[in-house]
Amino acid sequence: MRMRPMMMAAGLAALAYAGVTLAADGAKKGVNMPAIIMFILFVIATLGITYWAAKRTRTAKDFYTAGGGITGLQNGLALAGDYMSAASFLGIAGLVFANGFDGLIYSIGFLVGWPIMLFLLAEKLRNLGKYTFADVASYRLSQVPVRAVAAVASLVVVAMYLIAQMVGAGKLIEVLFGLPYTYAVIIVGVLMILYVTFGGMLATTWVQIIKAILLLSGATFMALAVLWAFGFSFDAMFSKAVEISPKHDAIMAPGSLVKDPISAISLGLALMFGVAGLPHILMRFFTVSDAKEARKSVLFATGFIGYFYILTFIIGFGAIIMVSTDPAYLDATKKLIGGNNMAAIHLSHAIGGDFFLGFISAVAFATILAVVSGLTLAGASAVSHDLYANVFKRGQIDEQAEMRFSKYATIALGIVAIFLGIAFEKQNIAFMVGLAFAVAASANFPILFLAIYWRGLTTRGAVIGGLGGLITAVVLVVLSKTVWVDVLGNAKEIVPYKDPAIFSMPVAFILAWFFSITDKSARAKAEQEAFTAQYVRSETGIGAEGATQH
Amino acid sequence: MGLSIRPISRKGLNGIEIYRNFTDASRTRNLRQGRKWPGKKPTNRESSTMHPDLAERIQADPRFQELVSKRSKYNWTMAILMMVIYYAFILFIAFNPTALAAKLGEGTVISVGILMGFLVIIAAFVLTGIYVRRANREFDTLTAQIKENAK
Repeated sequence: MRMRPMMMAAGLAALAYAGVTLAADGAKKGVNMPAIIMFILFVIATLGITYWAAKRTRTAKDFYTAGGGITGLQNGLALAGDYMSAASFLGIAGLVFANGFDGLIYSIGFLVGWPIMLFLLAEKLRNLGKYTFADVASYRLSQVPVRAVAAVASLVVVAMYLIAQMVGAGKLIEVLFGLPYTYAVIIVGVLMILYVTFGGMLATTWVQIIKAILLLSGATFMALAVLWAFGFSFDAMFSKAVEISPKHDAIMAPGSLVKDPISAISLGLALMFGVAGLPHILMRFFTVSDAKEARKSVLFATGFIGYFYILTFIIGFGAIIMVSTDPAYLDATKKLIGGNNMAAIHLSHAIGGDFFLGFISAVAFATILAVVSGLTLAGASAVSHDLYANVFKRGQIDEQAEMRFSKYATIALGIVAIFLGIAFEKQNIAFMVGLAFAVAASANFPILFLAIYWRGLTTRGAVIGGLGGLITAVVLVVLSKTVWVDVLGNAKEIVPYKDPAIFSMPVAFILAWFFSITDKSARAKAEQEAFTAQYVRSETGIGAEGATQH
Repeated sequence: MGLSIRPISRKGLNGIEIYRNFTDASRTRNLRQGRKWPGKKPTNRESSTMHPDLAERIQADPRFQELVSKRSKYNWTMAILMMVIYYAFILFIAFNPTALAAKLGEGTVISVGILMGFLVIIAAFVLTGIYVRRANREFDTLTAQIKENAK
């Protein structure tokens, strides 16, 4: 591919151009040089990896799954990297900073989906799948309709997640680097297109691994610095925070985050089962060689993510103590400069000055880049492998052509992401990640779960159940306060609950069940008979995709 | 690929003629893996089914039944345990927040809720660890025997 060096050069030129404009108005906004230098180092290193990975990405299997030869530890780090977005790092630290204990409720919800995924899905997914989770969902069902539904649901999840990340990226970079919002979004978009188009899953995985290590080290250093200030006594740290916080003792107890039992259960369902329906997470299970490595990768991922959430909790409390009373970090109204989500960033400055602030800022930027790359790859795979190769071309396509198409899909998705990021700049996007989890739990998870576990599932049931869950989740979120009032500006919400999963998940399961048991067609009978072969393969891995040797 | 007979016939899913454009790279790889070239490389669809007779035979293997019944019981027990731990925590927050606000003891500000939260995080990791340990030892051994038997 001759366009490769050209595109690389174009990407670097865009960066350089951004650097020039940055230097031009840097004087006004106070540009953080250490941050920029460290970020550029990260970009150079990751582009180097992309170049290396590009030479090793020759087949569709390489592109989608890095050849299937990623180890359990590497995949565990990459899964953790995909999951520890800047939103969860800065957002949860900000939540702890503002509400104390309540921040813990969210992080625990985000974590507990992982063991469930391991116990119920991870190994079977690996044994049955090839490139995307739709491979598993449509294993014994009719390819075209089931893949179409799975791909659409995947794209909805990816789009919501991407918008949230792109807007977050633009705003964060604006504050951290003094770079205009639009440039920030374009840089993120261009870099992610470079990583994914040329390096495929291999580059995306290594970008993710490096970022995960940087983020975990940075957060560890911050948490240790906070604890060190209190002689490594949790009690001393919490006492000081209770003394300083305007809410005092209330930060040690549940506050207003969980209002009623229905919301609590509904949020819990979406978080717990949403993980097992996120396409960019599910896709990672096909990058390891077998079920054993898949299992190990969840163990590592759970460990890293759990550890990370404990760190963010300490960081949030550290920010209460070291940041909330320091006028340097407050604006005229005694609020944190840049909002509560900047708590961790300000804390890094309080701990290590400009240099460490630069490091954490660069890590936050790297985190966003890595997460959007993973999302884009998952979205591009849904477009090329599911929609193009298997729905549009009915499977009649050679792998080289499919891979070429997936690269075009990546470029197209990257451009769409840039436009969405710019279009949503001024919108309230707080509901996006919640909606992504709700759709993942209500459309992707039910189809996947029933396809693997229930012999009775037929194509008709899967299609109607998946669409039913998807539509119910989206409609309920639109009618709830988060969109109906906060985004659309209506006076009163129509649905009183913010989290739809408690309603939309049963809708998906009941529809899938009902339209399967009433399906008496010959096709349905054949699909149910084909369950035995699928069941044996899912349990033993006989006939499963192996790794290619490079 | 003798296993790749599909029980359901679907129009347009045959693997023939799909691999016209073999690259040298895929040719070498096929040779290395002992596949005949150009032969019939599995298509997207084709590797996805197993001969029904083989499936029946494996399913009848008592070791397969042992593996499946043990493992599924274990999987569901662990999954339900995790859900119970998590929902106990969430329902406590929803119904009895004051109990979680209680202090762990005299002279400390740490609340019951914070301790419980940390324990839920640790439990998630410990449960996955226990599962992986048993699966690596017991389930993988059984699976290897079943595979050997199926050859």
